[in-house]
Amino acid sequence: MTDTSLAIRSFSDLANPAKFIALAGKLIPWMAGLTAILFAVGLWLCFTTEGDYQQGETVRIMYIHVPAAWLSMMCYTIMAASAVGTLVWRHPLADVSARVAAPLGAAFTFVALVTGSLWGKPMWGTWWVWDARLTSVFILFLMYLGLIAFNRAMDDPSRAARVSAVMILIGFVNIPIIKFSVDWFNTLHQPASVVRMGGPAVDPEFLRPLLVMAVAFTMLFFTLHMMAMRTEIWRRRVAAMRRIAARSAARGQEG
Amino acid sequence: MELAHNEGYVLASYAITLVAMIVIIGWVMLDSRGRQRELKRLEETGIRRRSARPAAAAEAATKKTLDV
Repeated sequence: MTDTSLAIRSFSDLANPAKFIALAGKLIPWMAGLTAILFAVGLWLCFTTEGDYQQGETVRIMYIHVPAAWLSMMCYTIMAASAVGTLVWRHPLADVSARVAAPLGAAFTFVALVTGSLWGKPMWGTWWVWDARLTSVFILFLMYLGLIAFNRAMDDPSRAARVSAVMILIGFVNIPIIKFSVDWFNTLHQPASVVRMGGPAVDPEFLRPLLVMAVAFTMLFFTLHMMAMRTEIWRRRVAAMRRIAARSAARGQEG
Repeated sequence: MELAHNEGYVLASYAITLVAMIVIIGWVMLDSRGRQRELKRLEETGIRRRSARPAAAAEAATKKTLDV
């Protein structure tokens, strides 16, 4: 017996693209609305909280730099989990998820790099140094670009999926390197001050806008990721329908 | 360090982030609309994926194959 309803009853039901699209259609407006509210509150906090006694106004760069940097790593982690889904369970949506996350990850990594550079100039006196943290994040950016280029170069998404998944998993070694680079190496970049043993070392005045902005950026990522996944399913349907049309046209010519 | 000088870095950071986010959001939305339009156009020409065919038609097709 086949279940034709679009209701999601268990996690595995999400593997059905039609059910996923139905769920996405319901969730996206709410997620977008929540993202907008979070950004409104976050940005208001960003500009109303006090400046730092040492850093002055530049502390406000932290409220976008740190969430963007967190997301650049979270996005790759989601891609790695999706890659496992592709290789182990051959989950039909795992490849869709990994594929559409790459451009989003590249955008957040770009923001982290540029805002970091703009923060470095007034605080460190330099736009860029090739220290372990900055270099490993730059490599992450290049990996995103490489994966995007690879996916665009392959015509057949199902054939690209497995190779892409293996490349993502190999690249995942960079994520702990980024996270712990500030502890393992002598870097100009400061060590972790929010997610660390012994609790955050940041004053609540700065922690509040930082956390609201982090949640806002995360919601933005998930909203865009869900929208892009739905689009990718549609793109594959269009390709499948074009193939059917071409086949029936060829059959028509033969007969 | 003069304050006015530093504010430029803050503004530049927010401006670049805003532009990057507008580009990525715009791209995701335009891509979504474009594919939706393509799908509608193909459906209008009567092309159906096997799984998207109405249940009755699919059942009839299966019966026909079984009869033969």
